Amino acid sequence: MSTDASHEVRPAVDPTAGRAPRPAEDTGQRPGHKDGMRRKGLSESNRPLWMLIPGGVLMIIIIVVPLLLGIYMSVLNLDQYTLRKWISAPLIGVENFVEAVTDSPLLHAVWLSVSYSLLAMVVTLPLGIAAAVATQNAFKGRAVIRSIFLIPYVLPSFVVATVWRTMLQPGGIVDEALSTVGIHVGLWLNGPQTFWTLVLVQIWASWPFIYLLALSGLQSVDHEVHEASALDGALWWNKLRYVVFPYLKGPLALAFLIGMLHHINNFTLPFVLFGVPAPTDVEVLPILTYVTSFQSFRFGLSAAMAFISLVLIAIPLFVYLRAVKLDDADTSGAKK
Amino acid sequence: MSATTATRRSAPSAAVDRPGSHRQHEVLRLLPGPLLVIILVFLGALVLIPVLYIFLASVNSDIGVAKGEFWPSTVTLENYSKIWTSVGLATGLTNSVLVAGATAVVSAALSISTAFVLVRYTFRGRLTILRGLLALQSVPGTLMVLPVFVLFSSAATYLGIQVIGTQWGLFVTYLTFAMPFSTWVMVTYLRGLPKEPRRSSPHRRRVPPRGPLPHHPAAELAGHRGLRHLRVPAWLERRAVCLGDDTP
Repeated sequence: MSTDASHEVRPAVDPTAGRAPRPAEDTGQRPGHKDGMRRKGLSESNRPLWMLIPGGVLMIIIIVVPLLLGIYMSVLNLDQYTLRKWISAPLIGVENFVEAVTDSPLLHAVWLSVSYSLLAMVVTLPLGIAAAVATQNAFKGRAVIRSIFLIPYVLPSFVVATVWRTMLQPGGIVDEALSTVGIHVGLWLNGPQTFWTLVLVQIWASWPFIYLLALSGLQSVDHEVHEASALDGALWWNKLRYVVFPYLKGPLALAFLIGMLHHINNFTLPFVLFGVPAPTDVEVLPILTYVTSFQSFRFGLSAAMAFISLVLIAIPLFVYLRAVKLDDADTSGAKK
Repeated sequence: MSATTATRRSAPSAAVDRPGSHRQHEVLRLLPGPLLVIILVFLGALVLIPVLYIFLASVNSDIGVAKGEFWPSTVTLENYSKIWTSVGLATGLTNSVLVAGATAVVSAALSISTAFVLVRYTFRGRLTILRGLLALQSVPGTLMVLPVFVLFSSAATYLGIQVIGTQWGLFVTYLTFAMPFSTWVMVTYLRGLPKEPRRSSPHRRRVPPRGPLPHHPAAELAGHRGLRHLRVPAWLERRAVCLGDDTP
């Protein structure tokens, strides 16, 4: 579902992720090794499992059924003529998938999605880290600065996209400002430059997320570590590079994964920025899937595309699910 | 944060090392002053200029915005009155509040009991459900929206119920995206509550419940010592958590 949601959720992570390397003793508590382990404090008797029913039934009806139907649709020849009676739509097997891969811009879209996500990530990482490092030490007005840094994060995607669309329109404020210093870039919202527009706006919108996670990583650096590096006379760059940054590896790896998931799934931003049909240079996966179903009315083909993007998403998602800590802190030895 | 730990550890030892003292500050310092200022100014401008532009454009005339004016040539508040009449903001707001409110109430009510069982009891498939809740939030929105659309349109064909274009349709669609999210939020919330019934605690009058109300899920990233000390205003933080999804 919505990655924006997963972007907000940021579930409990194995606390080891936020620290420098630790001995492997915690790995026995990994979620994967749960079988046979009795969870302390959780009762086995009188489990009111019926309480799962209301939420469970609703989720099965509104999520699992559509999900399965979506996968089933990908093997149907479903278009605007057969949609009304989709049960009797002709079954065509893998033809949709074959067409999606060989005879549609799908591979191009995959390439665009992945490269745009990576590019945005590569730029937001240093921005987020710099912001976190800069606001780590107390100074007057730090709380205000921290709040300001979070503004792009709390603005809804469609607001961000609308504002940037206004600013980037031909003859708009950005063109105006650039022409005063003698730069004429050309069209932002159409043509080959759209890809870079998308990357730029995505960077603006998503660096505070990296900032948040980097900040939480910085705060796990113990005071003794600062003292030790001060005693050793480490200069600021050496201290950052060899002492502080290793602490950030875990949170930033997580930020990278969630960010990639979020960027690849991001529909709102390109949709509001460019509208549909989008210029081919920003026809990322969600946009292509949307256009195929709701503009070309090839629902079967579109379902096949959505399924392929699910497979693509599954790669970072799998790593992410391995990394998060599903159990609560109380039951494992990890609790401090 | 380290400043607070410093209070605890070094208070008895040396008077010079009080938190806030110059020496302490030097120990904790991560960046040289000038660089700090450069970074803060750069990032602050990066954020604030577009935000300032939002405001300035809102008091500008349409022509002024189209011409690319940053400082409005004619300041007018007309836009703020126009939104109520020309685009019907009130209708949109009412619709949003109705549908979003209904979604919030239903998903919260249903997810509480699910999350309670998931947190307090162990059973076969528990971890699978937890993983599923997380995974569902990353499933491409398009993969969900398509079949939901087909189901709705076939509801009109087979059952004679018009769903597409109604608030009910929007409600069910929102619920599809909200349920896994709210269940997960409840799971992380219930985890923070004490396991034992309160009356079995000998200190029950004195020990306040560990209610993680201003809970920021990101706090758990750093093993429970992370963002709790981050001084983000509470309203901002709540906003950040509640801004669920805006995928179609």
